[in-house]
Amino acid sequence: MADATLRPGAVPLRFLKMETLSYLSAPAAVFWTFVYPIALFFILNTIFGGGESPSGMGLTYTDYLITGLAVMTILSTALFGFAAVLVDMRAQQNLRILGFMPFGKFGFYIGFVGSRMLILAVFLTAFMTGFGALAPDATTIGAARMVLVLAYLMCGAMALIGVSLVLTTFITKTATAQALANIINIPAIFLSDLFLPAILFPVPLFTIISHGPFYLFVNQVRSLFAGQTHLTDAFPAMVVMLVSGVALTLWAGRRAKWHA
Amino acid sequence: MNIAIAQPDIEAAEVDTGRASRDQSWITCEDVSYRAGDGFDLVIPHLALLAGGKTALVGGNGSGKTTLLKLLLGDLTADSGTIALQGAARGLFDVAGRQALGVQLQDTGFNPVYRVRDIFAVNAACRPFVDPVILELMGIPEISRRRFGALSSGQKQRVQLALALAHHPEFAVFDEPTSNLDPAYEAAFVELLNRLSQEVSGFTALYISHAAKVVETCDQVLILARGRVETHAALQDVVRQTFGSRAALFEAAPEVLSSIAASLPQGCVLQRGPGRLRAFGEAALTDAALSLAQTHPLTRFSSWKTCAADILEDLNNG
Repeated sequence: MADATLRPGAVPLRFLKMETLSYLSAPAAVFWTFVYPIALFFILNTIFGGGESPSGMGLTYTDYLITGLAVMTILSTALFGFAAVLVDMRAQQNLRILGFMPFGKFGFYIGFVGSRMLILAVFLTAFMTGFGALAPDATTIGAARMVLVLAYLMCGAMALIGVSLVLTTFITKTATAQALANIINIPAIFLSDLFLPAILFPVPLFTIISHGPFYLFVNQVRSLFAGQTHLTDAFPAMVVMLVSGVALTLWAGRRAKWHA
Repeated sequence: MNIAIAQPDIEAAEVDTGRASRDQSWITCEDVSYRAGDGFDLVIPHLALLAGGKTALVGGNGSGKTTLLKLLLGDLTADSGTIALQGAARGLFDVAGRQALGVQLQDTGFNPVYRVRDIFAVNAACRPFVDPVILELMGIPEISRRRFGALSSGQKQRVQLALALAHHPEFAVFDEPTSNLDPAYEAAFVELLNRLSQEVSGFTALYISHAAKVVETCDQVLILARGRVETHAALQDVVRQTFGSRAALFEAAPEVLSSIAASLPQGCVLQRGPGRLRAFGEAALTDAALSLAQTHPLTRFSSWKTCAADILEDLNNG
């Protein structure tokens, strides 16, 4: 008989490891999270780089792309690497037996959410610091400001993942989850000033776009990147995003079922 | 084609196995009804599965076995009535209660990318102990480095069975536990059940199974037919009252079988099929059947003590 002392946190840590490895071995997840934003950066920066940012703020187009694509990565990861994956695992009955093991749902969800947050944090740090240092027209910002930008991005990621988790509690079919992810993702990435300048759109459309949550979020990120907004200004929004993300995750975690 | 078999007068009865009383029921259903979208309905006025007992849930296709299991596990909600586990509605399935629970279900699995060793690491992280002998018997060490999605159906089944049993659960639920296992692992599973019955005080289990070896390990049998409990009684009682204690099978030309049927002792229950005759009765049947086998041209003859396999054979023959 192999006796063991139960360690609090051991189950979430196990799932954190398993889900991180699982994510990194899924070609679609790797493409959308890592390859797509990097490829898009090279393509767009090669074609349109060298000028000023369409959003102003004293940034270059390269800065505009770096910040916009970072937000795009968060969005696509939350939708395709999180909501769709979770719904599919449930639809395939891949969570069913976990429901009979002696740990709460949060034992799994903390590991599942944590793995995505960890992957995003590592990638965004590498993406922003890497291109910030290597891209010819990128603005070099100090470590403190970079940390603030990354912290703001991660707070936004937490809020988005919370929303995604809530969506998964209402959806039982993989096809529905994927369709909904596309319905949200496509207009969000094209109409939120992430890499396609919103200023180019007709005024009535721009007026609508400029009130969208992703537009407001990416502009705040750029403002932080440009040094126009400081921690004291951004802190309330960060707290709101973080707390709402955690609250949504807790609510959805309680409501979530192990089976479709 | 079956000849009508006298049903035991123990239908839907609560069985006293001498090990537990009614207030020690593990599962209790009262006035449960459930109607599926396709018109199938399951109605259970009263059902009590006693703690300490091992129950085989059997029935033909569409009899309601899976529906009943889903109701018990909370995958479906009954239209009316109450289902209680351990005296509280589904109380067994709270986190603490799951320490005493083992479950294996068909058509379930894990993230296909998870490695087997990681799945068992999660299991070990949330259990006070696991029994490495059970993991060995289910052949887990040899597949521990592989991803769950790369396993064969039999290997996946072994993973589930090991997870369900390695912590020596007091209560266990199995849905076709041996359906994908090869004979060696089927025997190992039966050996495990017998071992747990001896080592775990009050080991209680519910099996949906079509495997005679598994059903033989049970002390009760619950037979469902068309969404109703047809029989719920001690396994040996059902076998004895339905089939008697002895059975014989004759395969021969139709006229030979007719001659044998006419010569068998009175009171034997006969089942006639194309080219075959099965006879059920008491001890006198064996001697008579042997004598007839020696004097008639048969292509095949066998004689045996009646057992759970006869119930399953009868269900398979409709």
